[in-house]
Amino acid sequence: MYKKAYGIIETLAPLHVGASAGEESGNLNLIFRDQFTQTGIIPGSSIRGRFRADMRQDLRQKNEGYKDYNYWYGQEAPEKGEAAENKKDTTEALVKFEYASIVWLPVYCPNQPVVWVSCPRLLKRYQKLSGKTPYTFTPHTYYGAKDNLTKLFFNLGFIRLDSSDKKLGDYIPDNLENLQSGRDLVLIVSDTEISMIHDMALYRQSRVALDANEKKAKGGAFFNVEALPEGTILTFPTAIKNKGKDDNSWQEYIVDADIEKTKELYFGGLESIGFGRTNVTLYEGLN
Amino acid sequence: MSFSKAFERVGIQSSKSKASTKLEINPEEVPMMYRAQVSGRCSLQFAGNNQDLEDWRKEWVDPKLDNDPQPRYQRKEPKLGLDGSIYRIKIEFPFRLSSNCGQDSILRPIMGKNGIPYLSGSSVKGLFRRACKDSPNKLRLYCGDDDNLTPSTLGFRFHGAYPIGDWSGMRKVRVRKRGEMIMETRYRMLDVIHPQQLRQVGEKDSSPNAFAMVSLFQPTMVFEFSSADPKNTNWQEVENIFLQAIQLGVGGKTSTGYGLGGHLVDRPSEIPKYPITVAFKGRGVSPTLRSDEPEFRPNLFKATLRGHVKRLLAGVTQAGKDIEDRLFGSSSDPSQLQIFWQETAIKYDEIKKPATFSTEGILHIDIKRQESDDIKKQLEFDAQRESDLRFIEQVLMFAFVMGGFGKSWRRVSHEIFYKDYVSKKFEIGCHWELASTDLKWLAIKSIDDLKQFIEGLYTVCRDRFSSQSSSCQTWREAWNPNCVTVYASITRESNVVRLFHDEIFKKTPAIGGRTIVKKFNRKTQEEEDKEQLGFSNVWHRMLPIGNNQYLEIVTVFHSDRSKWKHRDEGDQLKPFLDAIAAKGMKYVWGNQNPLQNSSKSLPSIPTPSKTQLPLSNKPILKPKPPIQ
Repeated sequence: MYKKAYGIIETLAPLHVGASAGEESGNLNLIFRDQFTQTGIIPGSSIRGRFRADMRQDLRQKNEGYKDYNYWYGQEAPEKGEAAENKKDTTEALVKFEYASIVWLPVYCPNQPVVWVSCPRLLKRYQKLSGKTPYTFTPHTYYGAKDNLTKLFFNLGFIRLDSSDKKLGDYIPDNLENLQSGRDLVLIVSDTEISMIHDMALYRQSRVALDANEKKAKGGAFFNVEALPEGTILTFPTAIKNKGKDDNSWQEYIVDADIEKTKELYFGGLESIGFGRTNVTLYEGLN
Repeated sequence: MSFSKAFERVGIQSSKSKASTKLEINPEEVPMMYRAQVSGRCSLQFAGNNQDLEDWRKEWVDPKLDNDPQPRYQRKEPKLGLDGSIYRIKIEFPFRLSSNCGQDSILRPIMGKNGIPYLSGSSVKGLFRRACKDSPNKLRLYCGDDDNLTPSTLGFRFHGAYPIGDWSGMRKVRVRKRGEMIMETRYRMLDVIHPQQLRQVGEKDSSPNAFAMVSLFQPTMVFEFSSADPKNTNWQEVENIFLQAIQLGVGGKTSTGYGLGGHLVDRPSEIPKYPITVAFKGRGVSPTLRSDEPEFRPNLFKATLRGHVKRLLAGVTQAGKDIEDRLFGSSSDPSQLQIFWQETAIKYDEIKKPATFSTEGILHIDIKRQESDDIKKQLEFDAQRESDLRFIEQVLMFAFVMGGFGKSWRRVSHEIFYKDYVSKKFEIGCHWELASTDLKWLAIKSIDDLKQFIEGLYTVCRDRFSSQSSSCQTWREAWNPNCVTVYASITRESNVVRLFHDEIFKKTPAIGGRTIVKKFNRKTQEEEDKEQLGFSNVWHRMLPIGNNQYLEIVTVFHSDRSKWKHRDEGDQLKPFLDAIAAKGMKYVWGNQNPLQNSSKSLPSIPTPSKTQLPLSNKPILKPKPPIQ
């Protein structure tokens, strides 16, 4: 019924998709987290919103009266007061998106190489989406150049490098700007450890608005924001509803959405100061 | 709730077996960045011989190899101009660039990707907003509307900036250690702040601490921008606004020249348009970094001006702190005075100890324009700025005429004026001249000119800053005619310089700055005479007046007679004044009979008598019109 595919997101700048206000009354704007691993995610709605907005901005779509746009993302409900005859009933969107989870998260620590970290649970999701062969990931195995190190330091403590596992190379997507299989160090940690390491690896920035005439903080304009760091690799599943047998609606979608293999897209907040810049690559799924 | 409990609840088991949890841990292996900022673990702020700071720096820079000590992670130069959706501009900075991340006990930049210093997009957006503030259309187009909180109509984005190549300022220098010349690696990103004010000007004989900071030395930065509609964005306009924006300075400490003067690589350098510009050339004992490397540091101009403003105000008022803070900044408000030193030439002589510099450049000075919506208030602001500018230019002349700038400014350059001395001893003093293009800036050619200039400046200070019950501070160098006497003569070579090296004079605290104190030597178990260095109460200057002639000026402060007492030979004020009179020095200004001052007496409150002073309170030298 569905033609599946998946996407890889590589962040080229810090990425902040906020958990919104309400839960936090402090002045740290948190990112949205997955409830089990407590690692950052991009909600499906944000991904869909970005793709949808991109198609809407496309001039060709505009000239054709958003025909394709409404086809893929569903007919919008008529707004109040709008003549109902011009607008059909709402329809179901044909393209579906799910949330993006981390595959590899870079952790910077002075005096040691940048290490990309993941855990079995996160890698298993990637394995399922990409249709790679199932594999049992063992915590504290690594792959890549490690510079004579036997242990790594992650902000609050040491972690041992057990044994090298070449198989991990298969779980590093190709053609990333930051991470290259074999060259850069990747490490598996256990599912219980990832949330702590994730919290240490996040990019945090104090944000302050300055007075218009003097270089000092405007009263009250001071808060903090956290974001996934530059070089984070995430993955998300997507699917297209099949219309019948031998359906190539996926290819049609790619043409209509004007997506080449890799596209630069912006997710989340603070876009005007460079946050959320990513490279998104779509891979067709198995079925 | 701990995460482990949460995992327990959802049934996630730790995959760690008990046997494999053993890990040899030595607390000394913890990187410095993650250690407590306490003595013994990692205290970074002290700039002296601080091993913690060195280790912290080493771990951050993370040298590739011993024979290639450059940072492991560096950015390569990307394609400039429009590249895909990103537009890049490459900027070179002539001096340092400082930005602060607000963490640690040291000023340091944000660590971006892989620990490479980074200037955040929000900072660049702030600059842009400042440059566009007179054009609401451009503001809305690029920065969005601040009042209605709408984003940029163009979907414009500021991606921040990063240095390309070696950002640590690594270089290898030859140093002498235990008699041998060896190569050592130095990193110029380690910068130093050395507040000297209390020691140089104030009343305390305190010894100041030097603090460490991190700033990028003459970095080449790439600034990145993008827009949602790159094809319909006027990138030329973006570039122009941006260039205009960074002329105001990027990052922190811009009032002393950090982050100023950034210019495009293939264009002539962009210089801030400041109303006071003077071209100087000078030489002297070089300021040094904490690694002993010489580096001519333009912030010494601000320090000199501030010091002289303090001395001048101290001579006419007990207050004056607010005026000084307004002009030069305090911990609560930034400085209104902006200084930029446009260096055109610099040379260090590192063989000598201490290292010396000779430099040429143009000093640019401005006072920030304050703005108000109220027209009346605006006129007041503008009038105040105008008189501040005139005052600061006079102070700059005062600094130039009476001494010099930078280290050892109270003495003439021994390299030029006491040649036999230099061959065997350390270099002392400095010498500053006007560059040939700016000779007309100062019209002092004779002793009378000097007298008029000093009198004019004192009158300005007294009339402008002194209240009715004017009184002066008891500082060593308070500029009050009762406490100071200026002598001068016209000469071709220095007649006086040898006096400062006279056996008795040089050990008189007020002349040589040296005090002899008894100190217990543990090795010999005996008390020994030790020299303690302080500041001299005498300034000595050779002011060039053309035709190979100089105005030799000696400025003597004598309010504190205790400093004039030699340990064995008694009060040296009279012998010293007799000695300089014998060398042909004439009284110019101040107290005509300093010897009448009773010993240790505090300066009496001067009662300005209008009859003695010129009636005009206008400075005799008019400032140059602002350069358009």
